Amino acid sequence: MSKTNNKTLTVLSDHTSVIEVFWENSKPYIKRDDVQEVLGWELKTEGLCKETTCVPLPSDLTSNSSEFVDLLILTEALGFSTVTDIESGFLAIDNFSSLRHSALSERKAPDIELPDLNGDKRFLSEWSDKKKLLVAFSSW
Amino acid sequence: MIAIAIDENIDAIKELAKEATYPVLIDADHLFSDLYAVSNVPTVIWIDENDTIIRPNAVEVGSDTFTEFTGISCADHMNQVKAWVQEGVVPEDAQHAVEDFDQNEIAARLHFRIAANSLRAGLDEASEHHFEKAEELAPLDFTIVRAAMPLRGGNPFGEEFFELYEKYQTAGSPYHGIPRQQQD
Repeated sequence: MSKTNNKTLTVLSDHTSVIEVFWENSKPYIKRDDVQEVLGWELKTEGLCKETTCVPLPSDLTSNSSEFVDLLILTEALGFSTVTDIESGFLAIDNFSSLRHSALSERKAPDIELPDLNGDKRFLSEWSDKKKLLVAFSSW
Repeated sequence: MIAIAIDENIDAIKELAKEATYPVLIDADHLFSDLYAVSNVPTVIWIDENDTIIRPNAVEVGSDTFTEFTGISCADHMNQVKAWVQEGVVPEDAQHAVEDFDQNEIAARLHFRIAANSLRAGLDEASEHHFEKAEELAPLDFTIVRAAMPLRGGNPFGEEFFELYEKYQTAGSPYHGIPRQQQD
């Protein structure tokens, strides 16, 4: 595949990644090396792997030595829905839903990292050994 | 108590939280609200020391400023919290299973995230397009529709909010969490 119009793509998931992309037929192709950073899963010959789990992929994708891979094939394999805005260079990936689903059904509070008012990163698990009242509020 | 602001307006949050003696966290990107299925604020969740959700998402308020409007009194909730902490008493409504988001609500959140980020990047047209899509897909979700109002140049305390609230009530006040018993 020829690389034309290399641009950047901002991927919005449970974190934000800004990576190189090229678009072909409105599909985003990203570097193999960026897959783990973006998806949290590593691209191996066995497929997409995280800890002890691997999700199989079409063999032309895992065996192909091309530097760029079709990101949407990967998100589909992982069951992540996506919204793409080619012109603005944004791709939003839902990598929350399975965690939210199991958290709700098992009534377990998942950990999450958020900044406090001083800008310091805090993890909810910091208060794991206490009873907690989480209050979601807003200025709107 | 841990307060989490589903809000990117840090200055407004700092002002609101200036007397807070408890941790206040900022969820500018709606990551917490997506992970915990929060569809309106204020939402209160009781979690024990094993990270088990004892009483899930419920709309509870900290003062009676809006009691006439919402029918929610804060004293009842605070008494329940005390009974839980001091005696381990858990209210019956805590058994409620929070409804997960459907495909439209999930897509709405993806559009909202792009909208908020494109706004920060100065891409006003793209931003407005995605806020519109988000509203279309989740029209009764306050963390989508009302949260977008100040970002779209609207007033979350004005006419459009009252219209949203009316639509919401007409639809039976759908909320991802313990349903409210409205008082007369």
